[in-house]
Amino acid sequence: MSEFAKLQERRTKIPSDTKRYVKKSLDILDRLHELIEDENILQKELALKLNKSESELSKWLNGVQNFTIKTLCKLENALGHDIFIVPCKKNKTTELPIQTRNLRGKLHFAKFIEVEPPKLLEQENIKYALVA
Amino acid sequence: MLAEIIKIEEISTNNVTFYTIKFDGKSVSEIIDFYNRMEMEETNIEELNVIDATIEEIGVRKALHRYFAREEQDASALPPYSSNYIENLEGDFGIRLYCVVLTEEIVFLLNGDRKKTQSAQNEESNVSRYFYMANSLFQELINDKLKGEISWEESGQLIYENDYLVNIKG
Repeated sequence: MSEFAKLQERRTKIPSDTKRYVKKSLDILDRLHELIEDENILQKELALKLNKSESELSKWLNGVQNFTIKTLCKLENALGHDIFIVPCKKNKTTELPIQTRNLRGKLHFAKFIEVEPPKLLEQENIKYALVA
Repeated sequence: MLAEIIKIEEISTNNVTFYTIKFDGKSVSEIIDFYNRMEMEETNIEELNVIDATIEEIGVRKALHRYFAREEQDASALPPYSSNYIENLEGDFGIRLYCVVLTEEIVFLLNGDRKKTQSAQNEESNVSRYFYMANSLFQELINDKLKGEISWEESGQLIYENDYLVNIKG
């Protein structure tokens, strides 16, 4: 038996909360980089918005430093988008993120949007259905 | 010291091929030596699980640099958040597994230890030999590529002759 069977065996023993911690930590990093790319914002500009040094920002962006909720909220504010969404009941299902991957393996986030039910309007005897 | 390159089929994926090295005369590869030593301490288990889970995720996502702690020069390390992992113990910066991220598809998992100094480059550091091993491996692979002794493909495969050995300095 190959000595590396040990590595496979170790994987079967990883607690599910540890897997969740690692997956979410990497998801947050991916989301952050995705937003910076999408918003076409320079690290220098972002550091300025956050009132942080570039080296401190670099630690966040390169996974060296754990994020606090406060830090994540500051980043969300500066980038103008959610980095994480908490799916508690009062947030309704409309806030639940859907995570998908495209063919290149890049992570994308989407959320349901609540739309108004179609309303019928009568205007000059013509009925219109309004949809979002 | 001469070392053989070994592909770790058991954990490689379509996205990332993992390799390690085995020094001439040693009974086990570097990555297995790392686990054999670290598993001896019960207190290491939680951190080793984080490293295992991170390697598994990297296999799914590809080996982007942001998933590794950058240790300067050409060495990377796992896990990415280890510097803050243990916050209350003085002189304990958590376990480091040193790696070489050759491309997003090729990662060498090497060896490491519980880091007890801020800088891995400090020669008195207990992890400096693993840090320098990773740097030397990276440099030698680049040199040997220029000499035509080894090459790598986007698919994550290293191409070399069966008798190819890499010369790790230090």
